[in-house]
Amino acid sequence: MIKIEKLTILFGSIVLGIGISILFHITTGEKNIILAQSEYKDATEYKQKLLREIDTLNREKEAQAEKLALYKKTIISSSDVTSNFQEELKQNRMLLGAESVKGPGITLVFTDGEQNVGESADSIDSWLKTIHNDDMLKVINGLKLNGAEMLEINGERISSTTEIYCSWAFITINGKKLPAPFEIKAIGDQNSLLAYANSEFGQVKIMANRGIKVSIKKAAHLIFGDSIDLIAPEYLSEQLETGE
Amino acid sequence: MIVVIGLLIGIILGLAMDFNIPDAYSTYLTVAILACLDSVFGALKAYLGNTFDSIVFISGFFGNALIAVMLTFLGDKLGIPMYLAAVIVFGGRLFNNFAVIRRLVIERYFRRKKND
Repeated sequence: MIKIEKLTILFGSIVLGIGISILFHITTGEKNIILAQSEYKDATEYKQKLLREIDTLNREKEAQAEKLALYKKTIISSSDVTSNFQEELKQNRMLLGAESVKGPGITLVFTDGEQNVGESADSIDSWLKTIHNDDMLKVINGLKLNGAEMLEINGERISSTTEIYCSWAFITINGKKLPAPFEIKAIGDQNSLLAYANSEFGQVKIMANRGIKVSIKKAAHLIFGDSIDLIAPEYLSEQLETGE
Repeated sequence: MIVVIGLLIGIILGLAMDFNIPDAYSTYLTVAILACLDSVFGALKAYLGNTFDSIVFISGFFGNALIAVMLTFLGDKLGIPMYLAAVIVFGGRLFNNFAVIRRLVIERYFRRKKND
């Protein structure tokens, strides 16, 4: 009889122990949580809500990514256009003489010929030994014809608006009076330019024959300054339509 | 001693067998455990006092747990924490039972010593 009693108490204690261990699980939260039906329903609804939110956020993210890609593309293309414009502008400014340039070419130095003793300044010999603006114009023209991309006389760049004018003992270039000797620098095909400078019937030889001292040098690195001030056109305007 | 062994076996079994119930039912389980604990201590008291009845114990064990759970459930529905009634009643009885057990054990100990 006692044995049965003990067994009954043992059974009760075991059931109690199991209950306590289950409570441990719940309070410590170590095991998987089992939800009641109502909780499960709530949790499922919450899960669906979160999934919908994730879906919406994903779509939003994709839209934003597309927008970002478009912006990046636009930025890249616009920066390309800008850099092209800047490059073109720089090249134009170089060609116009408003930007410093460098390159290989030749240097020609012209010095007036020395007058003989007793020779009159008004004599034809003296006139021949003197460098005139016409000479410079012809030399410039000849060099341009023979491949000169850019020219400079005594530090003054030759541009489309440059004048070469005689001012007594000086030559006026870009509004500046420059005295002899005249150093012409030409950037371009060195062989072609040298061939012109040394050609038998070219202006350079003619001047040398007239008694003007001429020095011709090949230069690997010529540097031209930005001596041209760009004009602000008053009369020029763009012709938008043909036949106007 | 038998209670301690039973509890240990139960706890080990519970941990090993990985029983789980929904978190929302933890209050019900707590009051049920309290009721069962009261029954076990009551049984121990009866066993020591030679008045133990298996049927009374088993019916009390499950009956008390059931009533405690039902009270808690009713309290939940009514919005009153009725599980407190079970906690107070079974808690108080636990102390009473323990006091009686203590006296009986001490009495037995001294009786046995006297006989020796």
